[in-house]
Amino acid sequence: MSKSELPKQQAKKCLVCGSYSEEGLLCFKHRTAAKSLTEGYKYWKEAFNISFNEYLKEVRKRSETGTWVKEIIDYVITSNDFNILLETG
Amino acid sequence: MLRAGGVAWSAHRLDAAEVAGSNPARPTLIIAEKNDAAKRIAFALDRSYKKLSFDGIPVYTGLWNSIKIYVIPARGHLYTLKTDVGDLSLFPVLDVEWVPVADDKYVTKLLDVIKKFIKEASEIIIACDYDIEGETIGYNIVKYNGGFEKIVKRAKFSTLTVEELKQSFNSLLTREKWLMADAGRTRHYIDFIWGISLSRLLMNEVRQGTGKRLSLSIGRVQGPTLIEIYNRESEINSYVPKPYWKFKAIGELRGQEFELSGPSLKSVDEVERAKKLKGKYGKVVFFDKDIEEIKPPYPFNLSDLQKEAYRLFGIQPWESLSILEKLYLRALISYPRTSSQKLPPTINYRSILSKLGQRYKEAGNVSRPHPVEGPIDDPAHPAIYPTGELQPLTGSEYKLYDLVARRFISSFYRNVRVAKKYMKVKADGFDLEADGAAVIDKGWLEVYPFREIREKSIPDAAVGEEVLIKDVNVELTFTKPPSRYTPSSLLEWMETNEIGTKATRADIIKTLYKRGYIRGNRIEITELGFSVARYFSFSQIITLEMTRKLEKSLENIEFGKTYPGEILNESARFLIEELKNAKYSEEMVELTKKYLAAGTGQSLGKCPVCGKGDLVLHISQAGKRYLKCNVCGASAPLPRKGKLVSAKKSCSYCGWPLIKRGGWVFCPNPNCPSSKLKNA
Repeated sequence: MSKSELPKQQAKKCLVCGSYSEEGLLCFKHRTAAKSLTEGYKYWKEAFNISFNEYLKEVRKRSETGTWVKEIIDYVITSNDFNILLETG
Repeated sequence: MLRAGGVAWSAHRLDAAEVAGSNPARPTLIIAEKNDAAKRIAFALDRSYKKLSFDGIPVYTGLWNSIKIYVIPARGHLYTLKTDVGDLSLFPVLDVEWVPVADDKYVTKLLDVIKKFIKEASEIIIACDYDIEGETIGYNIVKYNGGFEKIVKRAKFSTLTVEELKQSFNSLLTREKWLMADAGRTRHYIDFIWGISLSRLLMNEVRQGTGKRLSLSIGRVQGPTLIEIYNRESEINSYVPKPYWKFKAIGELRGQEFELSGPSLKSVDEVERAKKLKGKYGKVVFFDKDIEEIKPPYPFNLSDLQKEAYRLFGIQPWESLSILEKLYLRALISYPRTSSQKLPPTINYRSILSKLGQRYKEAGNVSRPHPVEGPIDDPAHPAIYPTGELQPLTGSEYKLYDLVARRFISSFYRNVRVAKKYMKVKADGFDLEADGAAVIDKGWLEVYPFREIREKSIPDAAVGEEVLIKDVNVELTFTKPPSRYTPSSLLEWMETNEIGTKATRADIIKTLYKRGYIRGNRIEITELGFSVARYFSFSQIITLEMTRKLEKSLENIEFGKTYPGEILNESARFLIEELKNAKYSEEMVELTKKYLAAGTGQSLGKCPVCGKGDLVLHISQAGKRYLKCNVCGASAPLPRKGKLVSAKKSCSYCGWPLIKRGGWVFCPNPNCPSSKLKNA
């Protein structure tokens, strides 16, 4: 079971940064970033026809990518916890 | 007993000896906003005016229409709002009153002098700046010193030139209602009760959550402004770039090569298709050419001028306002706190242009009898214009004066004329475009060269003609996050969203810096700013809509469309309701704890310079950390990164408290002999 599959009431801290999380497993910052990240995939898929994993790696490299997005990518890649990206409120 | 020029003086003696000796009529008291303005008014009304000094307070006196006049300068607001509700846990605070500015000996003496002069005067003229703040300053002085038992008149002028001042004092305004003062006093009251109540709410939440007393504050207009910066910060930090390809081509037609732009390409398939255009022919499907006439830019209002000063010279909006006020007080330009983009003929265009001609030869080449004007009007003042008086200026003062003068002259200049061409080419399913531009008459750019027109040459064409695609260039690009606000673009946002006033916007931005909520020229929000904004954004207590609605109501007071009482009641009711709905936010408390952990706002030891204050850790606008004494202001730079704590020891060379960062202990005093020893 990945951390994001734990019951929500147990988690008061963001899985990415450990900050207080008002609702769910991500704090406001990383919830917003997760939403952008999932929404952005369709443009990269259309452009390069790449997998989601490759997409994460490419986005992580770009200087235009926001800090919170980079932080959540790092978390997803190291923990292999892709479910967390569904935590977008 | 007050003293005048070293001679014992009282208001009674002044009346008998000075007034009755020269003229049996009782004197007229003129209240100006600042010393320079008072001096200019006295000079305009009587060239042989005299300066008196009463216990260090300057008073200018002379004769005007055979009546003795006394001109006394205020020093900005002499009255402020205060509450007796001292318990910080109590809010909302609605019980407030106007009192003299506390702990200011000069103000106490000044009010004493003013009171005595009001008693002796038969008539009082408020000659403070003709706007809401100016009228509030003058009105409060008269109201709280018994002045409304006398005849009170208002002087209205937009420049401090002798000519205009004389004209203004020969046609003084009488008032039944002081609507500008009503609007100003109401604005101050609302800002005060909202500011103090919301700040107490914030501080209470933090104290409950962290157990620490942190001095936090937020205001009615600062709130939505901070939330906007927070929204922008969130957009930037959660930004995911999108890939696309820029598509350019080199075309050839009638022997001339020129650049064509294609649409953005979204996929590698489209890129491959575009590359295959090289060597093929496209067809012209549209061609047009025309002469574009570009009118001169509008005369400056304050915010347009602040934006231009930042764009061209990097002068911050609050700095430009301060410089413009100096230029106004020297009678070089008209009153700068204006929204107007219009210049009425009464300012005498020809006379100003003729005077400016001594410095700007272009002033003699104007071609319009009336200036080009913008749509925004301001009933109090015209757009900012040079008076025509010339004085030697240097640095930023010169730059801003030059900008105002050139903009004024340019508004009378002929249009810039640009020959424009536009071509559309269809090639293998792609729409390609080309634009051409050539300046054929520089027009107003001769005098106001601060705009750039990019010239580009393309050939003439006829529909159906073939264009050879000689080369194709595609470049992989990624979309960019929105830009960070600068003080100038934030000012523009506030203006567009109609919050704050032309006179207060720049100061509100400055306050956000001072409070440590934002930093840098490309504005970043600090952890503390983020937590405060997040709290208010979440709780919806101070919304943009609410702030805008209140601004509108305040404006209506000025124009007599509504009464202060109505707005005050509505605002207080709304505040009570909003505070009831405020939710305790653990997230804000957690973020504030983080901020406290970073150390900002903490004392790192006693100040060795004054021996009284604490050396407190601050972060500058540029993100640099420094220590500053909260009593004497002594300061010292600090390393930009790392957690800083007191080493709980003093430097043996200079006595400054030593600071610890990780395992490194250092003396922050830049002049410490120990650092000189190291450098030697």
